[in-house]
Amino acid sequence: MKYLIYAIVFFVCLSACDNNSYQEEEEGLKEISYRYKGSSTLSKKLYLVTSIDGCGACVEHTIKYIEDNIKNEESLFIISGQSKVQLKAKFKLDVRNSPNFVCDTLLLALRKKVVGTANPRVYLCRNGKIVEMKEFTYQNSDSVFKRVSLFFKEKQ
Amino acid sequence: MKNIRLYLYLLVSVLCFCCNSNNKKAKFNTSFEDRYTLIESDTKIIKLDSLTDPYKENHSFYEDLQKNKSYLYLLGRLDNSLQIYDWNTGNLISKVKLETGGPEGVGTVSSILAHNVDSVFILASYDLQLSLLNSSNKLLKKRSLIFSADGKDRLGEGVFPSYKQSCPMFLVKNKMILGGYPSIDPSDKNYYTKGYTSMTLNLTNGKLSYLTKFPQDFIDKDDNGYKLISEQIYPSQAVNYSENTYLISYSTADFIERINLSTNKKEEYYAGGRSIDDIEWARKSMDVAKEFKYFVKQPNYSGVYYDKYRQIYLRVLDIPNPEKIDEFDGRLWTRTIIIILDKNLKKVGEVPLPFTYSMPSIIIAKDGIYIRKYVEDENKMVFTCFKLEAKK
Repeated sequence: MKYLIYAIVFFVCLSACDNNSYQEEEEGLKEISYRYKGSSTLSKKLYLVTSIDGCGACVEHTIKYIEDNIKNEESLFIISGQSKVQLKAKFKLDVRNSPNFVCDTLLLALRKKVVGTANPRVYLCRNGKIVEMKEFTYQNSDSVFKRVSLFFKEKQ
Repeated sequence: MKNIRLYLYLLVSVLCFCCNSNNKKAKFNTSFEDRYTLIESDTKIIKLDSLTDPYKENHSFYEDLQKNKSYLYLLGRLDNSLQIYDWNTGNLISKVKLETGGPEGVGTVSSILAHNVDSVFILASYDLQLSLLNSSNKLLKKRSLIFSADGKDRLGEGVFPSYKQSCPMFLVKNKMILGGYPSIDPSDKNYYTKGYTSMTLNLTNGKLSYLTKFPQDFIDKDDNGYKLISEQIYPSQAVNYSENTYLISYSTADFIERINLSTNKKEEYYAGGRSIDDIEWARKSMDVAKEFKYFVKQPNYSGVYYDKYRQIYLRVLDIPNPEKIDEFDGRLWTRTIIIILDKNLKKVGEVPLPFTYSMPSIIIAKDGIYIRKYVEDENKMVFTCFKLEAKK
Protein backbone atom coordinates (compact mmCIF):
# COMPACT_ATOMS: atom_id res chain seq x y z
CA MET A 1 0.00 0.00 0.00
CA LYS A 2 2.81 2.36 1.00
CA TYR A 3 4.57 1.74 -2.32
CA LEU A 4 1.35 2.38 -4.20
CA ILE A 5 1.03 5.84 -2.55
CA TYR A 6 4.70 6.59 -3.36
CA ALA A 7 4.07 5.59 -6.95
CA ILE A 8 0.99 7.83 -7.21
CA VAL A 9 2.88 10.78 -5.69
CA PHE A 10 5.78 10.16 -8.08
CA PHE A 11 3.55 10.13 -11.15
CA VAL A 12 1.63 13.19 -10.01
CA CYS A 13 4.94 15.07 -9.58
CA LEU A 14 6.13 13.85 -12.94
CA SER A 15 3.01 15.00 -14.73
CA ALA A 16 3.15 18.37 -12.92
CA CYS A 17 6.74 18.89 -14.10
CA ASP A 18 5.70 18.09 -17.62
CA ASN A 19 2.71 20.40 -17.52
CA ASN A 20 3.16 23.40 -19.79
CA SER A 21 2.11 26.48 -17.82
CA TYR A 22 2.02 28.65 -20.96
CA GLN A 23 -0.14 26.36 -23.05
CA GLU A 24 -2.93 28.91 -23.55
CA GLU A 25 -0.50 31.70 -24.50
CA GLU A 26 1.39 29.37 -26.86
CA GLU A 27 -1.84 28.50 -28.66
CA GLY A 28 -2.66 32.21 -28.87
CA LEU A 29 0.75 33.17 -30.26
CA LYS A 30 0.62 30.31 -32.77
CA GLU A 31 -2.77 31.47 -33.98
CA ILE A 32 -1.54 35.05 -34.38
CA SER A 33 1.55 33.81 -36.17
CA TYR A 34 -0.54 31.65 -38.50
CA ARG A 35 -3.16 34.32 -39.19
CA TYR A 36 -0.70 37.09 -40.02
CA LYS A 37 2.49 35.28 -41.05
CA GLY A 38 1.25 31.94 -42.37
CA SER A 39 3.28 29.85 -39.93
CA SER A 40 1.89 28.15 -36.85
CA THR A 41 5.19 27.44 -35.14
CA LEU A 42 6.91 29.62 -32.60
CA SER A 43 10.13 30.03 -34.52
CA LYS A 44 11.22 33.34 -32.95
CA LYS A 45 13.03 33.78 -29.67
CA LEU A 46 11.13 36.88 -28.64
CA TYR A 47 7.47 37.77 -29.01
CA LEU A 48 6.70 41.27 -27.75
CA VAL A 49 2.96 41.87 -27.53
CA THR A 50 1.19 45.10 -26.63
CA SER A 51 -2.20 46.70 -26.92
CA ILE A 52 -1.88 50.03 -28.69
CA ASP A 53 -4.14 51.58 -26.05
CA GLY A 54 -2.15 50.21 -23.12
CA CYS A 55 -0.53 52.01 -20.19
CA GLY A 56 1.12 55.16 -21.60
CA ALA A 57 4.59 54.89 -20.09
CA CYS A 58 4.90 51.11 -20.68
CA VAL A 59 3.78 51.38 -24.30
CA GLU A 60 6.16 54.26 -24.91
CA HIS A 61 9.11 52.17 -23.75
CA THR A 62 8.07 49.23 -25.90
CA ILE A 63 7.63 51.44 -28.96
CA LYS A 64 11.18 52.70 -28.51
CA TYR A 65 12.44 49.13 -28.15
CA ILE A 66 10.56 48.02 -31.27
CA GLU A 67 12.00 50.89 -33.32
CA ASP A 68 15.54 50.06 -32.19
CA ASN A 69 15.18 46.31 -32.78
CA ILE A 70 12.83 46.08 -35.73
CA LYS A 71 15.52 44.41 -37.85
CA ASN A 72 16.09 41.62 -35.36
CA GLU A 73 14.84 38.55 -37.23
CA GLU A 74 14.59 36.54 -34.04
CA SER A 75 11.80 38.79 -32.78
CA LEU A 76 8.17 39.32 -33.65
CA PHE A 77 6.44 42.50 -32.48
CA ILE A 78 2.67 42.23 -32.19
CA ILE A 79 0.59 45.38 -31.77
CA SER A 80 -3.02 44.72 -30.98
CA GLY A 81 -5.43 47.52 -31.88
CA GLN A 82 -7.87 48.74 -34.49
CA SER A 83 -6.95 52.39 -34.74
CA LYS A 84 -5.06 53.04 -37.97
CA VAL A 85 -4.52 56.64 -36.89
CA GLN A 86 -2.78 55.62 -33.67
CA LEU A 87 -0.70 53.04 -35.46
CA LYS A 88 0.41 55.60 -38.02
CA ALA A 89 1.17 58.19 -35.35
CA LYS A 90 3.14 55.82 -33.14
CA PHE A 91 5.13 53.77 -35.67
CA LYS A 92 7.14 54.96 -38.65
CA LEU A 93 6.39 53.53 -42.07
CA ASP A 94 9.54 51.36 -42.20
CA VAL A 95 8.58 49.81 -38.83
CA ARG A 96 5.00 49.15 -39.95
CA ASN A 97 6.24 47.55 -43.16
CA SER A 98 8.79 45.30 -41.48
CA PRO A 99 8.25 41.51 -41.69
CA ASN A 100 8.88 41.38 -37.94
CA PHE A 101 5.91 43.61 -37.21
CA VAL A 102 2.31 42.48 -36.89
CA CYS A 103 -0.62 44.80 -36.58
CA ASP A 104 -3.23 42.66 -34.90
CA THR A 105 -6.40 44.39 -36.07
CA LEU A 106 -8.49 41.31 -35.23
CA LEU A 107 -7.48 41.76 -31.57
CA LEU A 108 -6.45 38.11 -31.37
CA ALA A 109 -3.82 38.85 -28.73
CA LEU A 110 -6.48 40.35 -26.46
CA ARG A 111 -9.10 37.73 -27.26
CA LYS A 112 -6.71 34.85 -26.64
CA LYS A 113 -5.41 36.56 -23.48
CA VAL A 114 -1.85 36.68 -24.78
CA VAL A 115 -1.81 40.25 -23.49
CA GLY A 116 -4.05 42.37 -21.28
CA THR A 117 -5.40 45.79 -22.20
CA ALA A 118 -2.89 47.67 -20.06
CA ASN A 119 0.55 46.07 -19.79
CA PRO A 120 2.71 44.84 -22.66
CA ARG A 121 4.32 41.43 -22.37
CA VAL A 122 7.36 39.64 -23.69
CA TYR A 123 7.45 35.91 -24.30
CA LEU A 124 10.84 34.23 -24.52
CA CYS A 125 10.79 31.01 -26.55
CA ARG A 126 13.11 28.07 -27.04
CA ASN A 127 12.56 25.12 -29.37
CA GLY A 128 9.08 26.34 -30.27
CA LYS A 129 7.95 26.62 -26.62
CA ILE A 130 7.49 29.58 -24.30
CA VAL A 131 10.02 29.32 -21.51
CA GLU A 132 9.48 32.65 -19.83
CA MET A 133 7.00 35.52 -19.77
CA LYS A 134 7.52 39.02 -18.41
CA GLU A 135 4.92 41.73 -18.06
CA PHE A 136 5.79 45.42 -18.14
CA THR A 137 4.72 47.86 -15.49
CA TYR A 138 5.42 51.58 -15.73
CA GLN A 139 8.68 51.13 -13.82
CA ASN A 140 10.24 47.79 -14.77
CA SER A 141 10.96 48.19 -18.49
CA ASP A 142 14.76 48.40 -17.99
CA SER A 143 14.93 45.12 -16.13
CA VAL A 144 12.64 43.38 -18.63
CA PHE A 145 14.76 44.48 -21.58
CA LYS A 146 17.92 43.49 -19.72
CA ARG A 147 16.48 40.01 -19.28
CA VAL A 148 15.59 39.89 -22.98
CA SER A 149 19.09 40.89 -23.93
CA LEU A 150 20.58 38.18 -21.69
CA PHE A 151 18.22 35.61 -23.15
CA PHE A 152 19.45 36.37 -26.66
CA LYS A 153 23.01 35.78 -25.46
CA GLU A 154 22.20 32.46 -23.75
CA LYS A 155 22.96 29.19 -25.52
CA GLN A 156 19.75 27.86 -27.02
CA MET B 1 -41.01 37.47 29.13
CA LYS B 2 -37.83 36.33 27.49
CA ASN B 3 -39.63 36.09 24.16
CA ILE B 4 -41.06 39.60 24.43
CA ARG B 5 -37.59 40.97 25.11
CA LEU B 6 -36.27 39.14 22.07
CA TYR B 7 -39.05 40.56 19.88
CA LEU B 8 -38.32 44.04 21.17
CA TYR B 9 -34.63 43.70 20.31
CA LEU B 10 -35.55 42.50 16.85
CA LEU B 11 -38.02 45.34 16.34
CA VAL B 12 -35.47 47.96 17.44
CA SER B 13 -32.82 46.42 15.16
CA VAL B 14 -35.15 46.40 12.17
CA LEU B 15 -36.14 50.01 12.82
CA CYS B 16 -32.48 51.05 13.11
CA PHE B 17 -31.69 49.27 9.86
CA CYS B 18 -34.60 50.95 8.07
CA CYS B 19 -33.56 54.39 9.30
CA ASN B 20 -29.98 53.81 8.31
CA SER B 21 -30.49 52.34 4.85
CA ASN B 22 -30.90 54.55 1.82
CA ASN B 23 -29.88 57.61 3.76
CA LYS B 24 -29.00 59.49 0.63
CA LYS B 25 -32.37 58.95 -1.01
CA ALA B 26 -34.11 60.10 2.17
CA LYS B 27 -31.98 63.25 2.10
CA PHE B 28 -33.43 64.31 -1.24
CA ASN B 29 -36.80 64.37 -2.80
CA THR B 30 -36.18 62.09 -5.77
CA SER B 31 -39.55 62.51 -7.42
CA PHE B 32 -39.71 64.73 -10.46
CA GLU B 33 -42.05 66.00 -13.10
CA ASP B 34 -41.01 64.63 -16.46
CA ARG B 35 -41.74 67.82 -18.37
CA TYR B 36 -38.97 68.09 -20.96
CA THR B 37 -37.39 65.93 -23.60
CA LEU B 38 -34.72 66.19 -26.30
CA ILE B 39 -35.61 65.77 -29.96
CA GLU B 40 -32.94 64.66 -32.44
CA SER B 41 -32.38 67.12 -35.27
CA ASP B 42 -29.38 67.75 -37.60
CA THR B 43 -25.96 66.13 -37.62
CA LYS B 44 -22.66 67.99 -37.61
CA ILE B 45 -19.58 66.29 -39.02
CA ILE B 46 -16.05 67.47 -38.29
CA LYS B 47 -13.59 66.14 -40.88
CA LEU B 48 -10.35 65.12 -39.21
CA ASP B 49 -6.94 64.62 -40.77
CA SER B 50 -5.16 61.26 -40.82
CA LEU B 51 -3.06 62.01 -37.72
CA THR B 52 -5.92 62.96 -35.43
CA ASP B 53 -7.50 60.20 -33.42
CA PRO B 54 -11.13 61.17 -32.72
CA TYR B 55 -10.90 59.58 -29.28
CA LYS B 56 -7.50 61.02 -28.32
CA GLU B 57 -8.39 64.67 -28.47
CA ASN B 58 -9.84 67.47 -26.42
CA HIS B 59 -11.98 70.27 -27.82
CA SER B 60 -13.49 73.61 -26.97
CA PHE B 61 -16.36 75.30 -28.74
CA TYR B 62 -16.32 79.04 -29.40
CA GLU B 63 -19.33 80.87 -30.71
CA ASP B 64 -19.08 84.47 -31.97
CA LEU B 65 -22.74 85.47 -32.03
CA GLN B 66 -22.05 88.96 -33.42
CA LYS B 67 -20.21 87.63 -36.45
CA ASN B 68 -22.41 84.55 -36.63
CA LYS B 69 -19.33 82.34 -36.70
CA SER B 70 -18.57 79.25 -34.63
CA TYR B 71 -15.35 77.33 -34.25
CA LEU B 72 -14.25 74.07 -32.78
CA TYR B 73 -10.78 74.28 -31.28
CA LEU B 74 -9.22 70.85 -31.05
CA LEU B 75 -6.06 69.48 -29.48
CA GLY B 76 -4.63 66.43 -31.21
CA ARG B 77 -2.99 64.45 -28.43
CA LEU B 78 -1.10 62.15 -30.77
CA ASP B 79 0.83 64.92 -32.51
CA ASN B 80 0.53 67.74 -29.91
CA SER B 81 -1.32 69.88 -32.40
CA LEU B 82 -3.81 72.72 -32.17
CA GLN B 83 -6.46 72.59 -34.85
CA ILE B 84 -9.27 75.02 -35.62
CA TYR B 85 -12.38 73.88 -37.48
CA ASP B 86 -15.18 75.90 -38.98
CA TRP B 87 -18.18 74.58 -37.06
CA ASN B 88 -20.61 75.33 -39.88
CA THR B 89 -18.73 73.46 -42.60
CA GLY B 90 -16.78 70.99 -40.46
CA ASN B 91 -13.62 71.86 -42.40
CA LEU B 92 -10.17 72.39 -40.95
CA ILE B 93 -9.14 76.06 -41.02
CA SER B 94 -5.69 75.75 -39.48
CA LYS B 95 -3.41 73.29 -37.78
CA VAL B 96 -0.21 73.97 -35.94
CA LYS B 97 2.09 71.63 -34.09
CA LEU B 98 2.81 72.94 -30.60
CA GLU B 99 6.24 72.71 -29.00
CA THR B 100 6.32 70.54 -25.90
CA GLY B 101 9.53 71.87 -24.32
CA GLY B 102 11.74 74.94 -24.43
CA PRO B 103 10.80 78.58 -23.89
CA GLU B 104 7.87 78.39 -26.33
CA GLY B 105 6.79 74.94 -25.15
CA VAL B 106 3.30 74.34 -23.84
CA GLY B 107 3.99 70.82 -22.59
CA THR B 108 2.19 67.67 -23.66
CA VAL B 109 -1.24 69.02 -24.42
CA SER B 110 -4.27 67.64 -22.66
CA SER B 111 -7.10 70.17 -22.40
CA ILE B 112 -8.14 73.37 -24.16
CA LEU B 113 -10.30 76.40 -23.50
CA ALA B 114 -11.02 78.79 -26.37
CA HIS B 115 -11.96 81.87 -24.39
CA ASN B 116 -12.03 83.95 -27.57
CA VAL B 117 -10.12 83.91 -30.86
CA ASP B 118 -7.23 85.77 -29.29
CA SER B 119 -7.06 83.88 -25.98
CA VAL B 120 -6.69 80.15 -26.13
CA PHE B 121 -5.68 78.35 -22.94
CA ILE B 122 -3.83 75.06 -23.16
CA LEU B 123 -3.47 72.77 -20.18
CA ALA B 124 -0.70 70.21 -19.98
CA SER B 125 -1.96 68.03 -17.11
CA TYR B 126 1.14 65.90 -16.69
CA ASP B 127 3.43 68.93 -16.88
CA LEU B 128 1.16 70.80 -14.46
CA GLN B 129 1.32 73.81 -16.71
CA LEU B 130 -1.20 76.23 -18.20
CA SER B 131 -0.35 78.31 -21.27
CA LEU B 132 -2.08 81.16 -23.03
CA LEU B 133 -1.80 81.53 -26.82
CA ASN B 134 -3.02 84.33 -29.06
CA SER B 135 -4.68 83.99 -32.46
CA SER B 136 -1.24 83.58 -34.12
CA ASN B 137 -0.52 80.69 -31.73
CA LYS B 138 2.13 82.75 -30.04
CA LEU B 139 2.74 81.90 -26.41
CA LEU B 140 1.74 84.90 -24.29
CA LYS B 141 1.95 83.50 -20.79
CA LYS B 142 2.78 80.31 -18.91
CA ARG B 143 1.73 79.40 -15.40
CA SER B 144 2.90 76.50 -13.30
CA LEU B 145 0.47 74.59 -11.14
CA ILE B 146 3.32 73.60 -8.83
CA PHE B 147 5.41 76.69 -8.33
CA SER B 148 4.63 80.37 -7.90
CA ALA B 149 5.21 82.78 -10.78
CA ASP B 150 8.77 83.58 -9.66
CA GLY B 151 9.50 79.86 -9.27
CA LYS B 152 10.45 80.24 -5.63
CA ASP B 153 7.45 79.00 -3.67
CA ARG B 154 5.90 75.61 -3.94
CA LEU B 155 2.15 75.95 -4.26
CA GLY B 156 1.33 72.67 -2.55
CA GLU B 157 0.29 69.19 -3.50
CA GLY B 158 -2.99 70.36 -4.91
CA VAL B 159 -5.09 68.78 -7.57
CA PHE B 160 -4.09 66.71 -10.55
CA PRO B 161 -6.02 68.56 -13.27
CA SER B 162 -8.31 66.40 -15.36
CA TYR B 163 -7.77 66.10 -19.09
CA LYS B 164 -11.24 64.68 -19.66
CA GLN B 165 -13.63 66.40 -22.03
CA SER B 166 -16.27 66.36 -19.29
CA CYS B 167 -14.10 68.49 -17.04
CA PRO B 168 -13.22 71.56 -19.12
CA MET B 169 -11.51 74.62 -17.71
CA PHE B 170 -13.57 77.73 -16.93
CA LEU B 171 -12.27 81.27 -16.77
CA VAL B 172 -14.15 83.32 -14.19
CA LYS B 173 -12.87 86.91 -14.12
CA ASN B 174 -9.11 86.44 -13.85
CA LYS B 175 -9.25 82.98 -12.28
CA MET B 176 -9.06 79.68 -14.07
CA ILE B 177 -11.06 76.87 -12.51
CA LEU B 178 -9.52 73.42 -12.92
CA GLY B 179 -11.17 70.22 -11.77
CA GLY B 180 -9.41 66.94 -11.11
CA TYR B 181 -8.50 64.54 -8.40
CA PRO B 182 -6.24 64.86 -5.34
CA SER B 183 -2.51 64.60 -6.00
CA ILE B 184 -2.21 62.11 -3.17
CA ASP B 185 -1.69 58.36 -3.25
CA PRO B 186 -5.27 56.95 -3.36
CA SER B 187 -4.39 54.32 -0.75
CA ASP B 188 -3.46 57.10 1.70
CA LYS B 189 -6.25 58.04 4.10
CA ASN B 190 -5.66 61.71 3.31
CA TYR B 191 -6.76 61.14 -0.29
CA TYR B 192 -10.41 61.33 0.75
CA THR B 193 -10.17 63.53 3.82
CA LYS B 194 -7.61 66.16 2.81
CA GLY B 195 -7.45 65.97 -0.98
CA TYR B 196 -9.07 68.55 -3.23
CA THR B 197 -11.08 68.02 -6.39
CA SER B 198 -10.94 71.48 -7.92
CA MET B 199 -8.84 74.60 -7.66
CA THR B 200 -8.61 78.13 -8.98
CA LEU B 201 -5.49 79.63 -10.47
CA ASN B 202 -5.27 83.41 -10.31
CA LEU B 203 -3.80 84.31 -13.69
CA THR B 204 -2.63 87.71 -12.51
CA ASN B 205 -0.51 86.66 -9.55
CA GLY B 206 -0.28 82.89 -10.07
CA LYS B 207 -1.84 82.12 -6.70
CA LEU B 208 -3.62 78.80 -6.31
CA SER B 209 -6.56 78.22 -4.05
CA TYR B 210 -8.77 75.22 -3.59
CA LEU B 211 -12.47 75.01 -4.20
CA THR B 212 -13.94 71.57 -3.49
CA LYS B 213 -13.19 68.35 -1.62
CA PHE B 214 -14.77 64.92 -1.83
CA PRO B 215 -18.21 64.79 -0.16
CA GLN B 216 -18.52 63.33 3.35
CA ASP B 217 -20.26 60.31 1.85
CA PHE B 218 -17.01 59.36 0.07
CA ILE B 219 -15.00 59.59 3.30
CA ASP B 220 -17.50 57.24 4.96
CA LYS B 221 -17.19 54.76 2.12
CA ASP B 222 -13.40 54.85 2.41
CA ASP B 223 -13.75 54.16 6.14
CA ASN B 224 -15.93 51.17 5.36
CA GLY B 225 -13.35 49.54 3.07
CA TYR B 226 -14.43 50.81 -0.34
CA LYS B 227 -12.51 52.73 -2.99
CA LEU B 228 -13.08 54.76 -6.12
CA ILE B 229 -11.49 52.94 -9.03
CA SER B 230 -9.28 54.88 -11.44
CA GLU B 231 -12.07 55.56 -13.96
CA GLN B 232 -14.31 56.94 -11.22
CA ILE B 233 -12.02 59.56 -9.76
CA TYR B 234 -12.58 62.20 -12.43
CA PRO B 235 -15.25 64.74 -11.59
CA SER B 236 -17.04 66.83 -14.19
CA GLN B 237 -17.72 70.52 -13.80
CA ALA B 238 -19.70 73.45 -15.16
CA VAL B 239 -20.07 77.17 -14.50
CA ASN B 240 -23.14 79.37 -14.64
CA TYR B 241 -21.62 82.78 -15.36
CA SER B 242 -24.79 84.79 -14.87
CA GLU B 243 -25.25 83.43 -11.35
CA ASN B 244 -21.52 83.18 -10.61
CA THR B 245 -21.95 79.58 -9.50
CA TYR B 246 -19.83 76.49 -10.00
CA LEU B 247 -21.10 72.92 -10.28
CA ILE B 248 -19.22 69.73 -9.63
CA SER B 249 -20.51 66.25 -10.36
CA TYR B 250 -18.87 63.05 -9.12
CA SER B 251 -19.21 59.90 -11.15
CA THR B 252 -20.67 57.80 -8.33
CA ALA B 253 -22.86 60.39 -6.60
CA ASP B 254 -26.54 60.88 -7.40
CA PHE B 255 -26.31 64.52 -6.35
CA ILE B 256 -24.37 67.48 -7.66
CA GLU B 257 -22.78 70.26 -5.64
CA ARG B 258 -23.29 73.92 -6.45
CA ILE B 259 -20.91 76.48 -5.01
CA ASN B 260 -21.64 80.17 -5.03
CA LEU B 261 -18.33 81.68 -6.14
CA SER B 262 -19.04 84.97 -4.37
CA THR B 263 -19.94 83.53 -0.97
CA ASN B 264 -18.43 80.01 -1.20
CA LYS B 265 -21.76 78.63 0.04
CA LYS B 266 -22.18 75.00 -0.98
CA GLU B 267 -25.45 73.19 -1.65
CA GLU B 268 -26.28 69.69 -2.84
CA TYR B 269 -29.01 68.90 -5.34
CA TYR B 270 -30.43 65.55 -6.30
CA ALA B 271 -29.68 64.79 -9.95
CA GLY B 272 -29.84 61.01 -10.12
CA GLY B 273 -31.26 58.58 -12.62
CA ARG B 274 -34.79 57.28 -12.18
CA SER B 275 -33.93 53.63 -11.79
CA ILE B 276 -30.50 54.01 -10.22
CA ASP B 277 -29.98 53.10 -6.60
CA ASP B 278 -26.79 53.97 -4.75
CA ILE B 279 -23.88 53.06 -6.99
CA GLU B 280 -21.98 50.16 -5.52
CA TRP B 281 -18.36 51.04 -4.79
CA ALA B 282 -15.51 48.60 -5.32
CA ARG B 283 -13.93 46.90 -2.34
CA LYS B 284 -10.38 48.05 -1.62
CA SER B 285 -9.19 44.52 -2.20
CA MET B 286 -10.34 44.55 -5.85
CA ASP B 287 -7.53 43.67 -8.24
CA VAL B 288 -6.64 46.60 -10.54
CA ALA B 289 -6.89 44.28 -13.57
CA LYS B 290 -10.57 43.71 -12.77
CA GLU B 291 -11.45 47.38 -12.39
CA PHE B 292 -12.41 48.15 -15.98
CA LYS B 293 -14.92 45.34 -16.26
CA TYR B 294 -16.37 46.33 -12.91
CA PHE B 295 -16.57 49.98 -14.04
CA VAL B 296 -18.58 49.29 -17.19
CA LYS B 297 -21.07 47.25 -15.21
CA GLN B 298 -21.86 50.19 -12.92
CA PRO B 299 -23.89 53.31 -13.63
CA ASN B 300 -21.64 56.32 -14.00
CA TYR B 301 -22.36 60.05 -14.08
CA SER B 302 -19.94 61.20 -16.73
CA GLY B 303 -20.69 64.86 -17.31
CA VAL B 304 -22.49 68.02 -16.27
CA TYR B 305 -23.23 71.07 -18.44
CA TYR B 306 -24.96 74.43 -18.11
CA ASP B 307 -26.94 75.55 -21.13
CA LYS B 308 -27.07 79.35 -20.95
CA TYR B 309 -29.37 79.63 -23.95
CA ARG B 310 -32.14 77.47 -22.53
CA GLN B 311 -31.25 78.01 -18.87
CA ILE B 312 -31.10 74.35 -18.00
CA TYR B 313 -28.48 71.97 -16.69
CA LEU B 314 -27.74 68.62 -18.29
CA ARG B 315 -26.24 65.67 -16.49
CA VAL B 316 -24.90 62.67 -18.40
CA LEU B 317 -25.61 59.26 -16.92
CA ASP B 318 -24.16 56.11 -18.46
CA ILE B 319 -25.61 52.73 -17.63
CA PRO B 320 -24.39 49.27 -18.68
CA ASN B 321 -25.56 48.35 -22.16
CA PRO B 322 -27.92 45.39 -21.78
CA GLU B 323 -27.17 44.36 -25.36
CA LYS B 324 -23.47 43.90 -24.67
CA ILE B 325 -22.89 40.18 -24.39
CA ASP B 326 -19.24 39.65 -25.11
CA GLU B 327 -16.17 41.85 -24.65
CA PHE B 328 -15.40 41.66 -28.37
CA ASP B 329 -18.91 41.83 -29.84
CA GLY B 330 -18.35 45.37 -31.11
CA ARG B 331 -21.24 46.84 -29.11
CA LEU B 332 -20.67 49.81 -26.82
CA TRP B 333 -20.15 49.06 -23.14
CA THR B 334 -22.61 51.65 -21.96
CA ARG B 335 -25.60 53.61 -23.11
CA THR B 336 -26.45 57.17 -22.19
CA ILE B 337 -29.30 58.88 -20.40
CA ILE B 338 -29.50 62.67 -20.25
CA ILE B 339 -30.94 64.13 -17.07
CA ILE B 340 -32.44 67.60 -17.49
CA LEU B 341 -32.53 70.04 -14.57
CA ASP B 342 -34.18 73.44 -14.61
CA LYS B 343 -32.42 76.67 -13.63
CA ASN B 344 -33.14 75.92 -9.94
CA LEU B 345 -31.52 72.50 -10.35
CA LYS B 346 -34.83 70.72 -10.06
CA LYS B 347 -35.02 67.61 -12.19
CA VAL B 348 -37.48 68.09 -15.04
CA GLY B 349 -36.65 65.34 -17.49
CA GLU B 350 -34.78 62.14 -18.23
CA VAL B 351 -34.04 61.17 -21.81
CA PRO B 352 -32.49 57.82 -22.81
CA LEU B 353 -30.45 58.24 -25.99
CA PRO B 354 -30.16 55.65 -28.77
CA PHE B 355 -27.50 52.96 -28.37
CA THR B 356 -25.04 54.93 -30.53
CA TYR B 357 -24.08 57.25 -27.67
CA SER B 358 -21.69 56.29 -24.89
CA MET B 359 -20.16 58.69 -22.37
CA PRO B 360 -20.63 61.51 -24.86
CA SER B 361 -19.36 65.04 -24.66
CA ILE B 362 -21.83 67.85 -25.20
CA ILE B 363 -21.48 71.19 -26.97
CA ILE B 364 -23.91 73.91 -26.01
CA ALA B 365 -24.71 76.14 -28.99
CA LYS B 366 -27.36 78.75 -29.61
CA ASP B 367 -29.21 76.59 -32.10
CA GLY B 368 -29.24 73.45 -29.97
CA ILE B 369 -27.53 70.91 -27.77
CA TYR B 370 -24.93 68.93 -29.71
CA ILE B 371 -24.25 65.48 -28.31
CA ARG B 372 -21.32 63.50 -29.62
CA LYS B 373 -22.20 60.23 -31.28
CA TYR B 374 -19.92 57.20 -31.28
CA VAL B 375 -18.71 56.34 -34.79
CA GLU B 376 -16.11 53.81 -35.82
CA ASP B 377 -14.84 55.92 -38.71
CA GLU B 378 -11.63 57.53 -37.46
CA ASN B 379 -11.77 60.32 -40.02
CA LYS B 380 -14.56 62.25 -38.43
CA MET B 381 -16.29 63.41 -35.28
CA VAL B 382 -20.06 63.39 -35.35
CA PHE B 383 -22.37 65.51 -33.21
CA THR B 384 -26.14 65.28 -33.27
CA CYS B 385 -28.13 68.42 -32.58
CA PHE B 386 -30.94 67.95 -30.05
CA LYS B 387 -33.69 70.46 -29.43
CA LEU B 388 -35.23 70.90 -26.01
CA GLU B 389 -38.99 70.46 -26.10
CA ALA B 390 -41.67 70.59 -23.46
CA LYS B 391 -43.68 67.38 -23.23
CA LYS B 392 -47.33 67.70 -24.17
